[in-house]
Amino acid sequence: MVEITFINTALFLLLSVVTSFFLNRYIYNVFSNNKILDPITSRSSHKSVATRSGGLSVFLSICICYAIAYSTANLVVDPYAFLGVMFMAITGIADDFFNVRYREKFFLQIFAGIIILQAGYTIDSFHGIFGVYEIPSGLAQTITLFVFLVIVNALNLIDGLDGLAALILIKFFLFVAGVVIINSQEMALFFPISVGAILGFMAHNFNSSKKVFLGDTGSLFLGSIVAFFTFYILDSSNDLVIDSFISRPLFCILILIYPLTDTLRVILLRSFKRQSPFVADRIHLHHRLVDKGYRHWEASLMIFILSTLILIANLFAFQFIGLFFCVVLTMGLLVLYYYLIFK
Amino acid sequence: MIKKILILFTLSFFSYSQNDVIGEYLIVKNDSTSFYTFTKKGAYFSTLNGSGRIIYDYVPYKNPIPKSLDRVSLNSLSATKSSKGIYFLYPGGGIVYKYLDGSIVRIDDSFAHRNQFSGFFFSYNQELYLLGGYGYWATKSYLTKFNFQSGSWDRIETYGSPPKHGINQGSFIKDGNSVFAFDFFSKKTASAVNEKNSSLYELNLSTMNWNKKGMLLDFSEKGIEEKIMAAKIPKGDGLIVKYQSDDFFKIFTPRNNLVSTYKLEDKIPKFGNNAISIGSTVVFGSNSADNTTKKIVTIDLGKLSVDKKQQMVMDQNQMFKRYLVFVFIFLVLLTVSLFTYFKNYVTIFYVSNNAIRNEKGTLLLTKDEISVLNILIKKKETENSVLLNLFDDKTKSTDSIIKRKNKIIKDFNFKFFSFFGKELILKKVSKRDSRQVVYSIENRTKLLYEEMP
Repeated sequence: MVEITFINTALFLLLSVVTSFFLNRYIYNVFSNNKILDPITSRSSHKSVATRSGGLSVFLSICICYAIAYSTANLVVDPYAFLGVMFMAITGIADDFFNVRYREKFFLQIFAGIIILQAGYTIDSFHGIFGVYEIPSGLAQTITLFVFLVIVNALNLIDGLDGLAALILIKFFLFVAGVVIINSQEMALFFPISVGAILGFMAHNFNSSKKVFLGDTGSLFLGSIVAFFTFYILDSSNDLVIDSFISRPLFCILILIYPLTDTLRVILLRSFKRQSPFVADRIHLHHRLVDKGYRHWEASLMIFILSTLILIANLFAFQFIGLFFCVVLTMGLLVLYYYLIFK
Repeated sequence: MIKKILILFTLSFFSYSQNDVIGEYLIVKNDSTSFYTFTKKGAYFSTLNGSGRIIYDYVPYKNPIPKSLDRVSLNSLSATKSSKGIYFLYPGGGIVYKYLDGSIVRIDDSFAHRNQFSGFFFSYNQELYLLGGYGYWATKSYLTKFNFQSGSWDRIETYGSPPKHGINQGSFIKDGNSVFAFDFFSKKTASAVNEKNSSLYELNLSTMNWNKKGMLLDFSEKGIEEKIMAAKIPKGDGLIVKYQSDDFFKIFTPRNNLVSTYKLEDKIPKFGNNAISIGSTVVFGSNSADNTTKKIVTIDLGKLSVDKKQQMVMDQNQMFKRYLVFVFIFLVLLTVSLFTYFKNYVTIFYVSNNAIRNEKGTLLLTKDEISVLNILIKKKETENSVLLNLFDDKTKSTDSIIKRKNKIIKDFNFKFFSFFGKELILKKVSKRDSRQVVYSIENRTKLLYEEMP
């Protein structure tokens, strides 16, 4: 195992950014030349030519950089996790090309979730939430699978503005990197590779004339990676430094606060209207910001900053006020944000 | 012969010998100056005097030792002393003995559990505990407490994050209310592989909460067989660890996050796992010349110089704090970069035959406004006269045409500003002819014709 240093971390970040940037441009041209364009509908936030090639480019960039890191003995990822994530990426590619029906996609997500569970990381403890610690194995696996579906679909749902999903994912990978790398350096290089691939994609996602979207490939692929690392953190067999700073479940919720709250809100509103929770519409919080006149980058950046502030506030406050009051603080901030910015 | 002379020379300098001890024995610390050496027939009570010499007294047991000890080597027992007395634990846990009124007596009503071999037997607040260990193909990290009333062992609930896959052949330090565990093996259920755990754990005995303190910087790569044979001797708030194959030993002090390495010279007798420390003195058994008996000898560590001092664990909390600062800087830079980029970003607007739009929305335009934009798109700067031609009307005066043109541009800019937050058409003096007025599109704005899909 080669020692992970700042230099090779920075090198892999750079390699990933460059690979992703050029792959995004190349695959955009391939899609564009073959008229594989994202259709403009009444729900679309974009009105110009755009492709859903970002996910594929990010996927390929990560694969290339992973292969290099693996071959130089710098990176080890559990084969089951790798297999499950690959399966999700292929499901996403199929969905981007052929529009897989929601029920079929849901079934494929469950299948991928079961594969990822074989990596051995499950939510086997509530870490003291409601006074509950370890939970029975069967229940742990069921909850883990449910959380997998929630995370993957939540990331899919928030992918509605330029840069939003990318910024949320960058925040996730940056914070989780510290927790994982301090525990084990085996997966250390995966984080600069992922962040680099997303940064390379962002440059094209913000481009007005040659716009690239993550598509289902990106949201399902990256969503399953996010889910895997969430299980890694919540698995009680991993002794993580985060325990000295904040409750693990709270940390996991806070790094994904926007996708989770927005998905919960959307599902509640749709259920209230007696609609299917999976129906497509424009009632997401980020759509509200755009409808209020914010540009995409402004709305994405605002959501990114606000959600990061909640996380940082909790990281500072947890040692002093404990779990209960941190939950109260988070709820308070969410309500404040809603009335000040989103309403 | 030379070796014997050397040993004699060494002992005169570093150590003092007690009498010969025949057969098996177990050395147990009593207090800061005295210790017991238990054999199967009786116990030596020894005191270290001020000059480091051992003064001893042998007392045969009043009653024979319990039968369960007949086939067990005495040094395979674990011993601990509380204010109530000295206790011994049968290998693997379960059976408990006490040195009471000059005899070793069995005090439990239990059986040989055989499921916590290599666990840490210690006393805390006059209670006896056993932590971790290995047995029945599984490694444990749980804590059991001896119930003096029932004579059995109860499992104690602990919180926090204990080493999930157990502690086997670990190094333990009891320091005040805490027990530190490190340098041990763990084994997942149904796995045949003993995995080395490279972290330091602390169990707070007052709260029963586990806390991972950090990753060991000085992590031994020794195999499990060597760890079984290693000498692990509590010394104050630290632990002396010496492997048989090493010519040095280390003192781990987790409270001070310190590891001190001492080199053992050839002339100093090597100590094994049946040893204790009293102050700076290590008391242990050393083979006699003919290997038939052992002498209890001492080494004063105060006379040895420290070879190396280093940190015991990497302070993960500090490391994570530093990492958070890095993340914060990275995120701020990312935000500032995006902000700067978009503030200087050329905004693209798409013009169709009746509207202008971008990602923010669509603004409907009049025919006149569209006509003006069509002219402005084509050239970087458009002369006033060109725009006036657009509104040319033979029935109207020139003054009226100028006013109409100005009103259309002014209203358009107002409408555009209200919707998109910026003015689109700029009016300025021509660089070529200061008497002329020219119109242009705002610098960071680009107008494109709509591509109809």
